[in-house]
Amino acid sequence: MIYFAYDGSLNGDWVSRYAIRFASHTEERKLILVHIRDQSVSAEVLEEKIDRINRECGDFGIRLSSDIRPVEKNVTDSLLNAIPAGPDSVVVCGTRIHSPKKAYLAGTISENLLRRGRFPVLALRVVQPGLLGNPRDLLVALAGHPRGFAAAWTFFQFFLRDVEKVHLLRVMPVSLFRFPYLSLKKTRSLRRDGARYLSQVAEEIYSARGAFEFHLDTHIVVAEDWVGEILTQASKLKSRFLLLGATEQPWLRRLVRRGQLERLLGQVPCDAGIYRGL
Amino acid sequence: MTRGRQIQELSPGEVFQFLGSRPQGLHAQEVEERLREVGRNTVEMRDRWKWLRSLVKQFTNFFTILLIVSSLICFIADHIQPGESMNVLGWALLAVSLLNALFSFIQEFRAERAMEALKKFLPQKVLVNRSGRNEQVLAEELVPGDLLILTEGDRIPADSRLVRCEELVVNNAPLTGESEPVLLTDQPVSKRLNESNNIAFAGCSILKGTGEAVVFATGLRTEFGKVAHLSQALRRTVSPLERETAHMVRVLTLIAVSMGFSFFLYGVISGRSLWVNLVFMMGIIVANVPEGLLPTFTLSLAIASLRMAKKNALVKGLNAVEALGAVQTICTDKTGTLTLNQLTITHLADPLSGNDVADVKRRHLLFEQALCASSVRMTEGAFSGDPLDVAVAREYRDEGGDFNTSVAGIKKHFAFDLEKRRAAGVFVDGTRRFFAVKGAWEALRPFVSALERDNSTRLDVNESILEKVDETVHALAAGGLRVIAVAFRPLSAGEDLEADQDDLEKGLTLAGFLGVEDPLRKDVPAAVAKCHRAGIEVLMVTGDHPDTALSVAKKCGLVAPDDSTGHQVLPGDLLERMKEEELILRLEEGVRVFARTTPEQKMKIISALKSMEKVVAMTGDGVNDAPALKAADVGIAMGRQGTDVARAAAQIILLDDNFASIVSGVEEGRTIFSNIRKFTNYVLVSNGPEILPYLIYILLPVPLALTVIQILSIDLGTDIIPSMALGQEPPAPEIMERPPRGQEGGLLTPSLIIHSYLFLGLLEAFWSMTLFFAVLIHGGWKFGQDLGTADPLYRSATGIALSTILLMQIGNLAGRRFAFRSGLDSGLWKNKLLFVGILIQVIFSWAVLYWPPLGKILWTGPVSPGIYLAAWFGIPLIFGLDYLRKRIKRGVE
Repeated sequence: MIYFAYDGSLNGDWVSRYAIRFASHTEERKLILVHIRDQSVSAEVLEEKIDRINRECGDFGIRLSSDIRPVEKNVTDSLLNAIPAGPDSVVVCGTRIHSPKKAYLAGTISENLLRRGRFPVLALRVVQPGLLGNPRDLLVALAGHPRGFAAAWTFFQFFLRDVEKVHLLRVMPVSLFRFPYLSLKKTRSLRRDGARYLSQVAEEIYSARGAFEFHLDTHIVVAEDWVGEILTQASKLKSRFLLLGATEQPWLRRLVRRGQLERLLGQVPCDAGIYRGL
Repeated sequence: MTRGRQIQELSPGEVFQFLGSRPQGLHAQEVEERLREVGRNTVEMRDRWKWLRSLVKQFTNFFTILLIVSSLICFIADHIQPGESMNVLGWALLAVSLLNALFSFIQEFRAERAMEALKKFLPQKVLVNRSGRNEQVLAEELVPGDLLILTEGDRIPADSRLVRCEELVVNNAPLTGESEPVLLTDQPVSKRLNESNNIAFAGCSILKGTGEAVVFATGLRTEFGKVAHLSQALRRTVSPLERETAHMVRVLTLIAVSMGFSFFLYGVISGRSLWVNLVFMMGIIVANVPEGLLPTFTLSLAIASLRMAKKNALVKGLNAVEALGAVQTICTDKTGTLTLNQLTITHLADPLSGNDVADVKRRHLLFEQALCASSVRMTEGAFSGDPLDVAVAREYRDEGGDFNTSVAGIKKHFAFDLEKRRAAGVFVDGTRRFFAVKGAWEALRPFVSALERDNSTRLDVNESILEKVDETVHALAAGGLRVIAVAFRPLSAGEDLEADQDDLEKGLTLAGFLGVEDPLRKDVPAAVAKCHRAGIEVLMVTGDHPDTALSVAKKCGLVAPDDSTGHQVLPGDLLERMKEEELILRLEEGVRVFARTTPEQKMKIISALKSMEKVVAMTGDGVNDAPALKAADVGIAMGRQGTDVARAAAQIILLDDNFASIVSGVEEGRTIFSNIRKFTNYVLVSNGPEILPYLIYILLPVPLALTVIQILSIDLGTDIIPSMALGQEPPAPEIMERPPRGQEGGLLTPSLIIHSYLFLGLLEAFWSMTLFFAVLIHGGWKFGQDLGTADPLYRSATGIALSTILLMQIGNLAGRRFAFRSGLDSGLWKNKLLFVGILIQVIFSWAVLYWPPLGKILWTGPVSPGIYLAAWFGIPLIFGLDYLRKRIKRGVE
């Protein structure tokens, strides 16, 4: 079941297109919109916006169910109470509207949802509303998770029907100080490791994609700046959507990665989704 | 909403709905909210710390750090024991490190000009409709949902979906590289977003018409923004020379520091004073580091870049000089680089036989009909207009036609129509009057009812005859020709000359075909052959038709003339669908021509070649070529037909757009690497006699034979000009006969280290130390006796040690010119700098001993003429023994 954590913002409106498309891929063909009344948007505006979402759901033959609740302890807890835990509840939410003093993901409700790990969560930043939630060309950046593609698959499957090109990217990170002196031998070895990992992932995708046909290519890059490299590849491959896993690592590494994710979301040339599966 | 649609597939009404906009445009509050969400519409990645970071980065390489640490030690030493000129040395080392870092910084700064050129493609202000009013706003303030008003001459500020347009024609060349105008529509299309003709793309311009469009992507999210992003974000690949220099510096630093620290510790344990130990450690480090080597690299590359400029290759980044020499694959454009970019009519073919029309009268008429359907002006004695029309006019004149009279007869002209793919005209000259059409055969075919034959006879056509004509066209195209059909219809006296083109285009007689081609540059086949002999692969990357591309490839020798397999050509549509590994496979199988290629696909080709660990040079001229030019190891822009953006993104600009100039550059690059190896070898030899005195000094109770300042006088003084002289040595005849050295062809190889340090270095050390002790013993010094630095005997002894090293470097210099030959046998005096270098060594070897002002600075003193003469013996000693080694090595090999 697709749950759409809707905040009534502009980005939320654009994210709704993804939520609707995802719901159209489920057997239930139902989208549950959850909104916590935190007074950030007026009731009239909210009603108008939900009406629009409802109309677009109708175009897809999707049933929209709205669950509008008052704030309990805080918005995060209210959402956690509203959405049942478990792998069957796939939550789609948006990143925060940017302002110079605030981050896209850090400290947001979306980040809280991703961190709690109660259900699979996809936090979306939409910068190309013209895609209407139908990006067709995907860049999936993989960090070498031992579970392979399992975590990403939860979300990847929703793109299957319309996707035309999928690029799997594995950036093999090297420290800033080591990078300029990296020998050709070491570079080759890193690329081999990356290629091995991506070919396993490609096999997983081929065996699970069923009848859906699309162009699948793999790219391995050895770099000292993984964020910069992902952004470069997104522009180079003209990808329309970037799918990237949120870290499940200890807090210190998470803290370091947080700043890098913010940079990525700030400069991303296409729509981007940060996911965490179960 | 229908399943799976994107913005290009919506009706104009839906566009407003889905982008949260309306025909009256957005309200101010909506604009503000959206601006906050997606940011400003700018393609520039603002990074206020970029240049500071770049400057700091220049100080993080081993060599610079080492020089800075050494200078700090000097200042500390001077503080502990003033009066030993250690502060002078400290400043000298600091200056060298600063100069090296600043030079690299300036290089990087200069390379970042592409952004400035790209920004010129976007307007400052645009007209939008907001809250129902048309208003001029800053283009940077555009947001998704804004309603743009587009008129002729505008530059498009953001990717926008057209909701209304009237004969809107745009030039998409900045994105596609294709200069042909594109007619836009406001109706839904079911193509990929970036191929849709209802989208106005940022960076492109409106040629004619008007329209309204809703913005859906701004800034770096536009297609143009992606080009801009790549132009800024892609970092130049580390050049082979940079990689090898970094390796060399790392090895030398490691040797210097570990040796310095080991003996510092040994000194501490053996109870020497801290001052002596510090000076000793400094000496070891300074002796091990060839301080002058990197500045000499830079100077040699700079001089080589001047030589390349004379060969029409303007170098922007010095490392590109050598990188070009290491190139293993050159990806070259066709038009203008391999060919002259000057359309020429080489065939005038009969429609049925395809043979050249020989009949002079018929040829004249055919050209006249073609001219009637052309639009050419004569300005200042030269034709101007569409290149094809100019070619027609030129040929007509060359065949004896009277251009002015014929042009005067053209009463009406129908300009080339993109959709119709043909142009036409009405000609009247007295009683002679006809309507003529010139264009693609497919476009004229439906209107043709007869064929022109020799002796002005006509043959009525049927489908089987037309099929034969089709075969003629295919045969001509397969020969690499662009085929233009020319047809006509005689007009009767009463016929309306003002009739529409559609009314006139009926019952046409096909007069013949113009076979048009862009001739090959005459020096290209030889240059390609030279590349092949030099083990360099040449790939043609062109937007042209596969047949045309293959024909040119055969003519210039990229593909064997008898090749009929077609395996060596890969069209763009296939390339688009290929995975990188599949492309690598095709490249390994021998693909040499990429046809119908888009500028973006150049990136794919580069990525594949880089995955194959090739050093790649890529040529380009368009705006969209900028990322590929930056991604290649060597980006080469066309100086004549290239855009400012391409020129800014490239490292080398070809002033004559000629492929042969690239090959000359490769030769120059290979020569410079070979010369860099020579002078690295030369410079490292003097490290031997610089290090050994310190080792003897710490192990035995003897005076130090060479002071730090004397070492620096060699490394940063007398060795510089001879090194540069070796950098100017002409190319060896076989330089383009051997394969590229590859990614791992090292600069500092084990054999070079052994030869420099353990053979020639030891020889210099042996002879200079021999004379040093000879002077000391002759002057009454006893083993173990301590001598002060001001002692005249000590000064004379260090003086002769220094003088001997300087003289022996002359023998070393001559020997370094060739790997096997002596070095005296060919043009020794042709290289004037070599002569100057030798002169400097000779004068300096004398001056350190006998010219008191210099002796005062270097703490040296005079010796007897006999001893000085013995120092001269060092020259034949080192030269002769090295020559003997060469002979033995050659005999073994």
